[in-house]
Amino acid sequence: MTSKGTVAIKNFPQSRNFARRKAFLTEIRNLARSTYRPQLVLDISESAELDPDAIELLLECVEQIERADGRVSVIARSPQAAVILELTRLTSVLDLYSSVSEAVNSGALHRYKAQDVVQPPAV
Amino acid sequence: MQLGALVVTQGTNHQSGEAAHSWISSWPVVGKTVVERWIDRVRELGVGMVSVVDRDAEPPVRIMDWVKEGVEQILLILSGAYAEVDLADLIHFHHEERNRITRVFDKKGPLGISLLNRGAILKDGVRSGLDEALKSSRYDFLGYVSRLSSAMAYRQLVQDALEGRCGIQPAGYQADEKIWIDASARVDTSAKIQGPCYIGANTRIHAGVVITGYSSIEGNCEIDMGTTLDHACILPNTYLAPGLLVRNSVVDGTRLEQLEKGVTVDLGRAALAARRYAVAPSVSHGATDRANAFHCDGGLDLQPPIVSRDSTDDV
Repeated sequence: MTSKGTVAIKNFPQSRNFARRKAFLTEIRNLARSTYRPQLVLDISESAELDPDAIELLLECVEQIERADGRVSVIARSPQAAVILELTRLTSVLDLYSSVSEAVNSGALHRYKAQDVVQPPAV
Repeated sequence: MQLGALVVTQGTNHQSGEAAHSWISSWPVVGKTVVERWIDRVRELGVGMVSVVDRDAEPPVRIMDWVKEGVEQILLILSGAYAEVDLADLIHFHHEERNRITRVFDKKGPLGISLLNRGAILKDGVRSGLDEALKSSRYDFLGYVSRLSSAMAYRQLVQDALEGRCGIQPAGYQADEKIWIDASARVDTSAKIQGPCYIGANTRIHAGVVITGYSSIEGNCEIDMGTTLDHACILPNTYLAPGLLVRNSVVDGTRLEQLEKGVTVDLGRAALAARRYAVAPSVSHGATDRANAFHCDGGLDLQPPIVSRDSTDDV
């Protein structure tokens, strides 16, 4: 089977304290568990900078989604963030776009709805 | 005839914006800065009176001091460009034409190199050295020039030096074809180095590092495990974290300039790079002393690890 799964678009948390981080990762885990081949789009445009915590959190997201045979795309409007992602070789495990529309037009995402999270269809 | 040479550096401003590139002439190019190379060339002429001043530190005052001391000609070099001007020929031209002021031009304009007679300085004052509006004779230069106006121009100069397209000879021991490594550098045996490239003094290259694409790593740097450098210039006293992919960039401490995107990033916030403390140069090893060409980590590196796996296969 080669079809792509549900698309989920999320804002990457700006505040990454323990509670926020845990809640965010729980959301990602639930998405990975409940969806076949999820396509997670993380919008990091609001994150002013990519610090080590942010990079680690991104990697954890990639790990969770890849377990479900999914793929992570990142929306980075700032060229600085894009450079950091390339420098850390994260672009080898995720797709990088400068806007949601670019990600959609790239054909990498099979569908897109404007909701924050597109839930998988009830089985 | 007594000749003095004044090399004027372009300041050391590291701020962003237009002035940000003014310090590029103080960046080393495969072992030596452009200013040091100018000094070497002036000394080769037999000029004993050489001074280096910062542009902001009133170079005209120095010119007047020399004139008062009886120096008859002053060679003024504004170090914003690297140019392989034949200085002896310039002096000869200046004498033959009986010029008061001779300025060097290439096809793009003035190169910031002037030869001034004492009389011109006494008549026109200190501005004769810097004011391009003053009447002067033109010496046209058609050879190699690199205006160090951007990090990209600096990167091109490094590439030309490694490729042998200009007269810059990389410092250090030539370990293999187009691979230069300083004798005090420490390179792990598992590092893969594909020339042309340069590794400077007291620099440490850890296991699994890949260096390729005309990359240069200047003195006292540390490249941590598994990092790849491709078409990159690493300036002195820079530490790079493990596992990075540095491509088409110039890195100075924590500041990375990505040349393709024209973006500058502070890697310090992401803990991907750091500024190392400068260390005093170690005891110099003979450039031809092959046995001392490398310091090996942990006593495990038995051979100079300068040949890439690809090259080894060919042998």
